[in-house]
Amino acid sequence: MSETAVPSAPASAGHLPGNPMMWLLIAAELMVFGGALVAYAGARALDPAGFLAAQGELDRLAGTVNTAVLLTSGLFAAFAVTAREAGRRAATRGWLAAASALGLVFLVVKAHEYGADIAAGHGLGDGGFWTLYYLITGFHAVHVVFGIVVLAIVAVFDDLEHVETGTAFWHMVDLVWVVVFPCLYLLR
Amino acid sequence: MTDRRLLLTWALLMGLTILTGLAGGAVGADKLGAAWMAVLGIVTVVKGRLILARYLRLEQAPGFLGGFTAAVVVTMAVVTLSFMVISRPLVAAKPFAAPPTLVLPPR
Repeated sequence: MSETAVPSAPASAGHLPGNPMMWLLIAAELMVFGGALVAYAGARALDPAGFLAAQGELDRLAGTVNTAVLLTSGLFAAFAVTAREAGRRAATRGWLAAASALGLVFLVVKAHEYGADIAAGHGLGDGGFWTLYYLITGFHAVHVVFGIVVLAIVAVFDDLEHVETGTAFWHMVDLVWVVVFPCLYLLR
Repeated sequence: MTDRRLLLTWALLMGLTILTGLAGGAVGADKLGAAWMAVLGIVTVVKGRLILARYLRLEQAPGFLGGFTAAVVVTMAVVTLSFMVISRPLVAAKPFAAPPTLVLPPR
């Protein structure tokens, strides 16, 4: 692809950047994950001791590392937008690729965590904490996979609105993890 | 949004992540006190607002920034307060009732 800029206006004050439909999706996703976390708090209220014991088996350091990984990938995605606004299309694709690569790192760390949890005998069907843990973090991991696909698509179809829309989805994935992580791993 | 401002935002988010890790006992600590839970909840809301305002650029749309931030605040408030307040099961487990034994009359 050439380095020539495709003219497109940057987001103006008072308006949402990117496609408005993506913001509807982001709002819906926040409600879904928010509802799941409230349900998690409700389930814990029935068995605080069981949840505390299960949380003690999580790898909190791996979760912290994954938070740093996603926040850094979010920075790269934001850099992709500023590069695109400046008409630097190769740099835009480079930042999108870097953000995607860190998304893959997140998935590798998460898979390692799941492996350790399963090896310790905790499965999706265990009920209580473990079922909610696998459902919430698994649903989030699916969003990370989908987000990587979205970033790849907007790297190809790279006008400014597409890049803004794709990276908005990626930041939503980032935001959800920032809320999910302390609720599942740290609050106890 | 300049790259320098984004970089500062990232540095702030990373600093808050380390603070969250320390408050939440990323290494060690079995159960948290109420104060640490409050710190966790507040820091998480601040991180969420930073992502919404700077990464997602909602600072240019204050109404939407307020709405999305409110969703994060409500979620964290419900979860954090429930952890602070509830330390024993809300519904007591039913005591085990032994099945009735069949007593046969002596022959």
